[in-house]
Amino acid sequence: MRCDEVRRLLSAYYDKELPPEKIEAIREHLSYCTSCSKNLDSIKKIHSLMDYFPTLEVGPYFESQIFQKLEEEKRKGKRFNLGLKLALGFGIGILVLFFAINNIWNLSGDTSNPSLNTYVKEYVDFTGTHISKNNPGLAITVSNALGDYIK
Amino acid sequence: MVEETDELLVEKIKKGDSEAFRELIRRYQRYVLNLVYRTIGDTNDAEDIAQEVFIKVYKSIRGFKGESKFSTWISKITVNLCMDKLREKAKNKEEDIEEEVWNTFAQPVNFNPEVMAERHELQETIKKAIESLPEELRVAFVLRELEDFSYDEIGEMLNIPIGTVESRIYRARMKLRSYLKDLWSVEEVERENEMR
Repeated sequence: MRCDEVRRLLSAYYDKELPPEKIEAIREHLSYCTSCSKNLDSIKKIHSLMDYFPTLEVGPYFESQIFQKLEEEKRKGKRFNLGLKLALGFGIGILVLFFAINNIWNLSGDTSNPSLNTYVKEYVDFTGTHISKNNPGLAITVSNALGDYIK
Repeated sequence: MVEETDELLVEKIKKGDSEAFRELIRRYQRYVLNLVYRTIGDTNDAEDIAQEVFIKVYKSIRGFKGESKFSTWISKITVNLCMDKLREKAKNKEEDIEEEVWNTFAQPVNFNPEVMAERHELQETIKKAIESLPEELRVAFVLRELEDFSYDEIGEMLNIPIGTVESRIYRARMKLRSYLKDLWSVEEVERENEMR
């Protein structure tokens, strides 16, 4: 084996991550190559220096803090849902209020801004469609009126 | 009393057993904390990040199907979280972390054996040397050298082929060799002191 190939594999050789035939070939190379042997020596020394890498100890509240954080996330989740419901409810309330005010406006005789109900009634009268509770044409008539109202 | 396996604890946690989750924390807290510390290199953030790992484990426990060992799974979560934090830190700094630390380290250091013989300084130097490695080399090196994972396991955790694992560990060692070669004699003195 050549030095450049051995150098590339030296790390894996040291970690015993090579197939047996490559290990054998490298071992043979190292028996006569001082340069590659020095490189292997460096790898061994780096490994032994890692014994000095500081180790942390776990604080006494580590476990309880995890549960506290999980509880906090659960509470935040509930607050978010409640906020969403409140926002939706508020939005629907505004819409209902809008239509209510609109209708009251029209009851007071102000025809400059006809309500949707008035518009539909006028449309129905104009088209001559007879409205009855069981009239299947009502749905089509109302949607046509809506279309015109929006225009 | 026979200790329950990790897999058994996981099944209990899936059913909402908080005592099983506590047991899992006790089993892995030191390991996760030190894996975070060795990868991030920051004592201040290490505990917070380690706690985030367990929160993530709890939330995604149903996703663990037992295809790998639980220790590999939790290590993967830890490493991914650490990589995210490292990238966040790098983005928030004006200059690249690697370059900053490299510049610091490239300056001549007075390796006076009498000063360096102090264990704390030795530890700090080793720690700084590892921190100076580019993120991808650092993570592979820490998983192999400090956590003893096989190349296969590292490849699975980082989602990279074994050849890449091999190459990163090799390059990390070569970089560290130039940083740490002045410590060889200091380390020998330390070992002699310990043996006395």
